[in-house]
Amino acid sequence: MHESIADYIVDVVQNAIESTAGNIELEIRETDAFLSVLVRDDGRGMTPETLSRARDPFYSDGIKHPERSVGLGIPFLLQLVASVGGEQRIFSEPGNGTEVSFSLPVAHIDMPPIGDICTAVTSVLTFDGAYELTVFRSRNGREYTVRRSELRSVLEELESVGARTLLLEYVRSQEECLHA
Amino acid sequence: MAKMTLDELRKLRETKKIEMDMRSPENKSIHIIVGMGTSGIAAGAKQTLNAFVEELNEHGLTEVAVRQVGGMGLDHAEPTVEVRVPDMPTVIYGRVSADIARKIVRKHVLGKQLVNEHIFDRPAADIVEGNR
Repeated sequence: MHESIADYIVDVVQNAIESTAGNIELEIRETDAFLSVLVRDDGRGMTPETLSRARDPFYSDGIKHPERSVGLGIPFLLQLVASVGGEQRIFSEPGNGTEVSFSLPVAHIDMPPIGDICTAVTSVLTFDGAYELTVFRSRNGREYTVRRSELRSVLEELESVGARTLLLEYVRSQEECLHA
Repeated sequence: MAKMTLDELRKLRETKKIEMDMRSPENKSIHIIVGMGTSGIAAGAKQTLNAFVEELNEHGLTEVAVRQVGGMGLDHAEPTVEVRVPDMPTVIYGRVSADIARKIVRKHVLGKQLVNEHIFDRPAADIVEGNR
């Protein structure tokens, strides 16, 4: 299991990147009562049978690691949602992409910490790959949006320690306005 | 802190870029690649990544590329990290905690010596060849 909700978010977006998606949308909506996350991609998608098997921790499609027989990303998420009485929905269509959404009651006693959203947003913006990612973040009526292509254009690249540090500073300034 | 605009970010980047260009250009070809698949994240790869960025920043190595990829297929040794430094063998390190990440920066990147006890992949022949 992951230690924070921020880790689950990175994991789900990383799955979308690995599905060869060109466009990914991440929404993180927070109120005093709920934290809701949606990840939508236009990657390779899954058949109903593959999606059903992806819920099984002892199944992996073997595409990336032929020697591996477990896949823990989706099972981890399902276990989290079940443990806090949340809701989740996974919709996928081969060739058209996947949409993963979940909503968690923040006051539940078994709710993990939300974690560092700034680091998570910086992380999902800086994976290897030629994907576009739009991040929409809201908290109690305040919101911001960041786009990977715009940030890449401004920073020229997103890999170097210098660019990463500036990107984190930028995301922190957006996030702090939600908490002001 | 006021909300930073993209224009302000661009100006900040231009200022830093001038500083970076004055430093050693060969650092641009150093790559630290952190496995951030499910097992890596669960094992603490986020802390590992942050430690690399912080330690490299502390030593002024802001041109070094710190990249994120999915799992490297060495789940038993997460967090895993590939390190590419010119004139040294490419190495995959395993069980890289934040402390080990800082050690890799000091010993491997700066000191040009391998952190042998954490090497999990890549043939020893490379090391022998590299030392001839």
